[in-house]
Amino acid sequence: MDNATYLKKLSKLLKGLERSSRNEILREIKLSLNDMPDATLESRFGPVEKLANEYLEDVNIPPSKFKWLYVSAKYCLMLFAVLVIAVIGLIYWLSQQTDQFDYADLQAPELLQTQWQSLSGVRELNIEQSSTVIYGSSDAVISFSCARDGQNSLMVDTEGVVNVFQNECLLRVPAHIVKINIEQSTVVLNNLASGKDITIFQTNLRIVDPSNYTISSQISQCEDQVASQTLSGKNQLNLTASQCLIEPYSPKM
Amino acid sequence: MHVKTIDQWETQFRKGILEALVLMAIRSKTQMYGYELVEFLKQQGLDCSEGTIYPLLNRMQKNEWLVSEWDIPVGSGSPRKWYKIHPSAGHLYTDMISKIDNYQTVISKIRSM
Repeated sequence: MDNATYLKKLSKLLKGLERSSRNEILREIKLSLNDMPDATLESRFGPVEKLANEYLEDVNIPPSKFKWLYVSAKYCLMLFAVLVIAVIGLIYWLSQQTDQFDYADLQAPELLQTQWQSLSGVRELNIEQSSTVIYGSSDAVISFSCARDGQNSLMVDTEGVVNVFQNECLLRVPAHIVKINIEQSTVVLNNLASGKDITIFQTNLRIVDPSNYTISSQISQCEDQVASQTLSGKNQLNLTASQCLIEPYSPKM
Repeated sequence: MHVKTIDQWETQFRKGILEALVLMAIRSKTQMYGYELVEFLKQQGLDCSEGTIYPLLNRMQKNEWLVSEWDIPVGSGSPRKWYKIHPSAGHLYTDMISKIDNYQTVISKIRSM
């Protein structure tokens, strides 16, 4: 490092000192060149950072005029970090919240206290973009309890089809209703009578006690965690499924 | 665990003793400038870099142990910053010498045991 660069760098490193004090130091070092004109300042005074540190030892650097800005930015960043952590925590907490109601328990108090509505003349069930639990029933008619629109939430059309759309429902489905179509939904099947034809698309199908069923299936692009084709229970289900997840139901899910 | 090396120990040891030696040296010559002081200490057997002595002189001046004065020669020759003992540092010098003497006595006593 040449002498001019050395002095320039030293001046920069001594910025914390008062101007007069800094100038005095630089002047003294610069004029010392006259004592040894052939030697460089670096070879005589050592590394410039070390020299600056020697001068700054025991010196209280006055706070910068812009320190408030630095402090504000620091606290803003800290606040931002806390908010981000809080949001992540909230999202995590919400994701951990599970429905504590055990849909597999047919004697669950929540189920026994449910106000059921009935519909007659139903032949087929369509479920779309809904969260639904389907219970097998020995009744003659289908009965339901839905979170949205109360008594009028489900209607039977002229073809005898009931559409469950963007709703959360508990359904008790009698044996004579054979055809169930499910799309983009989460559905729990519990204690269904034999002989149902179920078609699912982009759906999460959860089955209570899968071992009760024999499932003949045509499945494509699905994750089949119940190994449906290996089951050999007493109730026969015909399942046509694509883009789905089929899994055993557990109440903590 | 951090193990203190002889270099680290010497750095601490030199800090205090160097201030006393600078006071002694300047007092012996009435006034000195930085480069002259470094050369003087070298002649006495103490190898000190200018990077140590110049900042030390600066600190001692701030502590009012030394005063400085720029001498700008008429004609040839370069300006120099001369250091003298601060008028109010007489007691400090005496006390420092007394303490060093005391340490020296203790060291001698213990070493001769």
